[in-house]
Amino acid sequence: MSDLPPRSSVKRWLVTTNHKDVGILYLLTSVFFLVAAGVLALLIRIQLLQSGGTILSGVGYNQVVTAHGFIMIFWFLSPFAFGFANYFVPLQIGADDLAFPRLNAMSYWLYLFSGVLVLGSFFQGATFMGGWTAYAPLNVPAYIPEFGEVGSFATIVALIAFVGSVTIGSVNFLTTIYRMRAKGLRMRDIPLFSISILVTVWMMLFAFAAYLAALIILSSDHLLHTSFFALETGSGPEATDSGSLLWTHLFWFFGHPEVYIVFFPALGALAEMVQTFAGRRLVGRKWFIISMALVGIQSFIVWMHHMFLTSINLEIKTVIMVTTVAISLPFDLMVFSLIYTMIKGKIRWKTPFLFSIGSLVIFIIGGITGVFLGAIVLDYSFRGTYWVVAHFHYVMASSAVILIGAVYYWYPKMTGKMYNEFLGKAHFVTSFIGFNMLYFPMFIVWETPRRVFHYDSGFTPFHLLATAGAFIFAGSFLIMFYNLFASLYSDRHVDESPWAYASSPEWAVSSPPPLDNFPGKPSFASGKLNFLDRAGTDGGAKSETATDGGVATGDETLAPPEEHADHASWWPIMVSSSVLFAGLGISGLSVSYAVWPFALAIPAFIGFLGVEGARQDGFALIHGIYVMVAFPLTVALLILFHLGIGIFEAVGNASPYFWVGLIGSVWGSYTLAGFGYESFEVPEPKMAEQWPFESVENTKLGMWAFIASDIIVFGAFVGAYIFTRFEYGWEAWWHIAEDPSAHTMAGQALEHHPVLPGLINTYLLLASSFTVVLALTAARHKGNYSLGPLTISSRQATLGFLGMTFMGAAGFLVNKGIEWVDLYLHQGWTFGVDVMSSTFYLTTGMHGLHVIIGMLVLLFLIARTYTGAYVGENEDAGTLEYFGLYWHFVDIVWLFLFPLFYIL
Amino acid sequence: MVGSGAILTSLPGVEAVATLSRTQVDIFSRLFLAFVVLGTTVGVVVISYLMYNAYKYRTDAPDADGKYDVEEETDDDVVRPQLGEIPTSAKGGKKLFLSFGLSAVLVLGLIIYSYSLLLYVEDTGDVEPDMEVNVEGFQFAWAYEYDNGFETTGELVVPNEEVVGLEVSSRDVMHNFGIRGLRAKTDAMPGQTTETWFQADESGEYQAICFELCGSGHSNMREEVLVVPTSVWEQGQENYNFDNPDEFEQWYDQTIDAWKNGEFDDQLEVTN
Ligand SMILES: [Cu+2]
Ligand SMILES: [Cu+2]
Repeated sequence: MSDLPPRSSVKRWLVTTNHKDVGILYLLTSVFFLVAAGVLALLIRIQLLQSGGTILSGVGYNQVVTAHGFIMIFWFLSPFAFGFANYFVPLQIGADDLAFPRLNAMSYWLYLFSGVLVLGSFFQGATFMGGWTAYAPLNVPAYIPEFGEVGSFATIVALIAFVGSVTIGSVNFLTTIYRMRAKGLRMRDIPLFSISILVTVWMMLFAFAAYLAALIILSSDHLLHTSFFALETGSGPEATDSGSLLWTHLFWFFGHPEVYIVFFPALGALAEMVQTFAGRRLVGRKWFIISMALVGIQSFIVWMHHMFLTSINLEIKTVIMVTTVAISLPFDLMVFSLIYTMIKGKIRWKTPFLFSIGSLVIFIIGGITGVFLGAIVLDYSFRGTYWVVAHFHYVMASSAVILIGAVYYWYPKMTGKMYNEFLGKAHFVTSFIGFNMLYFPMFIVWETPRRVFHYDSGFTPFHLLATAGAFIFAGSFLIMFYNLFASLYSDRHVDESPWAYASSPEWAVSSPPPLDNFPGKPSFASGKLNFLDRAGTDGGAKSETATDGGVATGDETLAPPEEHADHASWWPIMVSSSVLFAGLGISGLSVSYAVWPFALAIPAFIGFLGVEGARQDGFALIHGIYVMVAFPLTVALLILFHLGIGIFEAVGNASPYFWVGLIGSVWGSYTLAGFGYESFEVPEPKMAEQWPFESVENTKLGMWAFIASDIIVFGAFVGAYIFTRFEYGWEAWWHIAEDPSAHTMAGQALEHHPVLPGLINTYLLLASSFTVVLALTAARHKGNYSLGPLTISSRQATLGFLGMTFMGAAGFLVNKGIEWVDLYLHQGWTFGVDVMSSTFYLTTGMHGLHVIIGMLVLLFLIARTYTGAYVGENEDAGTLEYFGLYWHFVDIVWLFLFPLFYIL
Repeated sequence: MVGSGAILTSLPGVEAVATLSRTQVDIFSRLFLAFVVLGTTVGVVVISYLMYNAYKYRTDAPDADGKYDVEEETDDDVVRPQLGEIPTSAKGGKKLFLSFGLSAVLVLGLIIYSYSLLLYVEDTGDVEPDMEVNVEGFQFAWAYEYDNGFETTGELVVPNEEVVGLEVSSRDVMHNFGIRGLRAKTDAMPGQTTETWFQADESGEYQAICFELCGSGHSNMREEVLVVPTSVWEQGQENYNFDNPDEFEQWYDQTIDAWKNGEFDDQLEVTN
């Protein structure tokens, strides 16, 4: 915790956890990535100036195409929208900040550093070159040219870090929107932009979890040489029978919702802009919202329309065609709703409105051409052509165009200055012309194959036109940059709102809004926005700080006294930077070094728990023990390391990646410990509308949301296992593993796969689930326990039960370790010998990782309990409860894995 | 069964072929035309209506106080949004549902129509293809295996006006096999087999293109498909036993040479 410096200070932007600051950071960073991906787009257009290409090789072109897609979709579009979400969702719902400000800052820094990783991958030989869809098995080392392996894996690691950022962000927004609305603001009453963000984060929470599982599977093929997608045989690589189809399922289960994840925030912003500039309330607002929610749910059952030409059968195709067509209908309703809102309006053709109406035109064209693709017979021919390219650019870029409009719409609010209207209009006109010149010709020459720089000579004029359009479109952004920059220094000040008929709460506060957002506690209890006095700040006196625009202040009830809230912390940027180093390191690790940087980080973490704990809570015995344990543990690991690779050769031969990875993971240990111990005050929301989660604290709701997404991660692993097993034959599965002739090298076949270790582990985990419940009960117990002559304080009892939980988990791991040593070393059943071993090691290994993380958290909780936290009258045992939720979840996952991998 | 299949066409089997009255090209063209006409109409109508409303209800009356971009009015019959209100809908729900219903009917109609064509494409009834070719994609070309056993990685040579069934797979990464002018396209995935078919109406030179990114040579992954006139194919059958892969290979090599020497130039209806 530190003080928040002024905005002119660089330090402010490194330590801030305030949602408006983070929003601005998101916006600026995403614009940087827009420029980066835009330059790549121009390279594509230059390459396409003539059939056969101009400046790029085949490999170079593939890289550019791939990176353009990745960066535009992940590092520009979504974060751009979430810049606005960060800034405006709390303002629109009447919250002072997001529910977890430090985690919000961490989302941002993870996003930034993941972007650094992906851009850095260009300089690691080559970046990933298999398209943003990353179809298997072209995405594994066996089929990636050697010079591109490290950079390709770095791209995948960057994506994982990005998913981390997204998941933290989703949990944060969900909790905020459900738990921190101003009094009187029901869920259905929050402004449309915030509603669109709510639907978006719901989709994100689940879709990105599936993507995370896919990326982890892919990483394991890269790092541990498992064989989900390709088998390494004596005579070269061989694609697995199931891998190609498995990837398309995993990817598109995420990929289709992703389309709406990108589009919905823009749709919400569009509805607000149309409403404001038409001076009319949205027609059919309720149906608009229901449509969005419907699309959000349905988006998870249409993914196979991207796979009409794979080997899925006609029945499935029919079902998917129906769901796909059905999902287009709510969009019709939304478009009509926007159009009807304009009738009888008082429409001002200001820049944001121009972009709104322009984007509607673009979206209508994109939508109609999308219906073409829903007709499967047409899709067969459109597959892999520029029809698809043109269609999704019309849809995706319409989202970008809306958000550009939103920049103009909210610029006065964020800066307190008005942009230059003429330049804004000039930007719109050039960009609209450029956009259509760029993409419309693609419909005409749609027979150009996608991601190919050869086309019929007759198409050349159209591709020339498109390239010219691309440069006009790109150039139009220079006008915007100049306008926005110059306007900062203009004297066109705005007060609360420059727009008539703006209705959402952000327009009722000054521009830019103050640090804690509102002049008083916002409330809608009277039917419209009021600011209640913050009692205790000025003696509880009622004041009439009436804002303009018909907002009255002053209410009979007084808001509860405000607690002090922190706004600054160094830890988010530090934790995230460790991900940058660890990620960079991991990208170049060879398989024999793969686990060591992370194994060595574990004793480091324990040591740092002791050191940081002593610093924050005052030295206690437990801190000393942690530091003392860390040393022998490190030595033990080093001995293992020596036995494994030979420490002197290893140190001499290790690539720089090993050292970067080691530094990153040790730094991660330190920063996570620091993050955990920091006391960072975030008041629980009081006097807020919290339906349907009135009785759940913020952190618990956050934990639920996180577990929900983790369920999808494991669901995807289990799904991948079941899918793969069906492809090989459910019963034949074990025989493959046990059949020596199915393996290229002698001694790789599995002799026996005992059930007993798994069974013992089931009991161990169940017992530890029980002790964690007892720990919580003890922590909330008043007074001491007496056991005959013994008196045990509730603190001692809590510590005892936490310790027993830890021992249970440790027993689980030891048992698993023995099992793995037998399977891996003695039976030679390594990670990649067959698909079965890959699914077994990865799925149970991911579960084991959850156990290890749980144990590390337990050590932290034990230290905190020992020094006085959680137990007693004035302490909150909530943290123990939240950990318990996580721990039960880990146990339940095992209850599914055990039968699936040991018995069936 | 190349030979016998072809012979059958000239005898009783001709009926079987005749039932395949529509090629993939016909179906695509017809459907595409319907969609383009309807899509353009709908697009023009909706966009015009949008622009008309946006223009008709425009205003630029300045705000008397200079605070807002326009004078706020609340005295007309339309209820306007107000700052800090709890949002509600404006009137117009009926019209909304009417247009929604219309669009739904339109889209559903189109889709049902196209679905009937899908069934046709997916299920060619009891009609056996006249010949089968196994296609295997690899980085960065196509390997063909005719049903007589003849294998080649060069051009695909097939007769005009006959139904050619394709079974497509891949040796390494995922590809997508498509013959553009003939509207045949399907994924080539390792470990999986997909099927499609085509029937050329016009003899000529076509191209088998890879439509899925498959690596460094993807952009150049295209090969010629030669659809020879029925007469050429039948003459070949008279001189060679097409059931014998070696004899078929002789004819194949000869035909390719002849084609490259330009001997077919005046017979081919489609050329690159
Ligand atoms: Cu989709
Ligand atoms: Cu290809």
